[in-house]
Amino acid sequence: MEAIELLEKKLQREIAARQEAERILEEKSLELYQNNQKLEQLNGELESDLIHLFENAVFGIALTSNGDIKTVNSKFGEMMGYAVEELKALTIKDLTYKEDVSKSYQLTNALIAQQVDQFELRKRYRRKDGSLFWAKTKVSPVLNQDGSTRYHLAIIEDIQFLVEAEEKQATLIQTLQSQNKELDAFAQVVSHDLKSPLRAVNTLVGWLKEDHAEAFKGEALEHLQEIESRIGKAFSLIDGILEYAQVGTENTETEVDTKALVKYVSEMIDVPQQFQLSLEGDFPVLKIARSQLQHIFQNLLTNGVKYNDKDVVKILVKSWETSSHYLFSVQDNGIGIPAKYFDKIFTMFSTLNEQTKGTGVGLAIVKKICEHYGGTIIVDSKEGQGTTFTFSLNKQHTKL
Amino acid sequence: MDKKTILFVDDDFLEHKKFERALKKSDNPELSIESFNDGSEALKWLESNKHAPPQLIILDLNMPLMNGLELLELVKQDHYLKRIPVVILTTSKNPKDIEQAHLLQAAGYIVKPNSNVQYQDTIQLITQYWMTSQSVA
Repeated sequence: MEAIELLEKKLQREIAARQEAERILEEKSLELYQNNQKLEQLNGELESDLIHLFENAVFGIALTSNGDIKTVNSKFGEMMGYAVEELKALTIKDLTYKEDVSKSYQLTNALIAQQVDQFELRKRYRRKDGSLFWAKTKVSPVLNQDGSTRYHLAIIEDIQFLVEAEEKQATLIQTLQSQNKELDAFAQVVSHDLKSPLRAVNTLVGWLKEDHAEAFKGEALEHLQEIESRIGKAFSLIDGILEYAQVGTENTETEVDTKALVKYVSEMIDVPQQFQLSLEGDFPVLKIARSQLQHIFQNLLTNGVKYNDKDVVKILVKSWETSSHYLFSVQDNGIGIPAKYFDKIFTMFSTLNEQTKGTGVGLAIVKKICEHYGGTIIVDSKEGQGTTFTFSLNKQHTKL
Repeated sequence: MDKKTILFVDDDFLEHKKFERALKKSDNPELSIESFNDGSEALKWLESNKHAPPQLIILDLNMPLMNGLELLELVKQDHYLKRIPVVILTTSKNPKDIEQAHLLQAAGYIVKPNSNVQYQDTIQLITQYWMTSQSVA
């Protein structure tokens, strides 16, 4: 009897345990089911997000496997002039311009062999109507969980406009370069051919003076000297034009210590006995064609000395900088320039005084050099008191 | 002592005359001048006078048939002629000409001075220097 009771109790306990287990199982199953529902919903949302992204992308997108097209977005269809369904029956090779197939192949093979993680190339695609366009294609693999490649994801951007613009720019640069070359050659030839007859006239006048000193006296001699002086002016003009034409064609830009250069120039030019040069400010070291900067200072300093009626000729050269430019000023105590000529002095062939030795090219060259280095030049002057030239050079063009 | 020869090549006959006048003033009786209008004539003369080469060649650049740089290149390629110093005397200040002349082993590059007096001085300086210098026997 006791044994039966014990067995019954054990059975009841087991039944209870089993019922509890079933209850838990049911509960967990429900939970699992609900979680699964949530996951599916999430997945669905994610998928619709992805599809949205895929369909509305501004780039063409293609999923491929071994060169076969699995699916594409409508943008790519639009780019290629095919319906999406038509594209799914084609291969990448069918869409690639034949000259670009091999480089596309090479890169894809490297990707398959896992030599590269991804690649980007510029190639031409062929539309359904046979027309071509340039596109930038970026290809990367989409992996399965085990690391094998599920498919290749290609993102295609139409860059036809960019390529056309680049080509146009390259042609323009080439044309410009050849025109510059022609212009340079032209300037050289003109200069030589103009100088030769001048030299001859100059030589002959010299011989007349030498060989017939008796015949040329007084006014006749003065006339010969006048011829020589005009020829001298013509020589400087030709040299000036040639120099003007050459601004910017010299490519040898070196480090130039501007303070040392100003001192060097002041020692080079003809100065009167009473001459004071002072320098003020921080003079930078620039990356510039030395001869060009020298030309600027030589011209401005010479002007300051040449057009000067004071007993003591004073020239002050200052240097300072702004965030974008280096600035220099050359100030003299000379005769000054009337305000109405401030613009005129920088134009070709203008000298204010016909009697002076100036050719009217010097300041035009100075201005052209400043402009070549992204700067400019201005003048300020008071008659009888002096003149200040201020010029700037863009840091982007001249910074070390 | 044998007369020393200067070969003068320039397409302008007035330049020949000018050079001769400048030399005459320096009063150097042992000097003789051979003048040519063009590089190819000068080369012909050089090739037939290898036994008595000039002491110095003075060469213009801009000439119609064979220009100065072309002649210079040919002279420097020749086993015998390459020992003769060649001084360029030209109106060209073109940096490319200057560089090219030096690359082709010119002994000097002189831009013809515009002023007659300076020309005279320059010619005397060049000839004095090269007539003093010992040439290859």
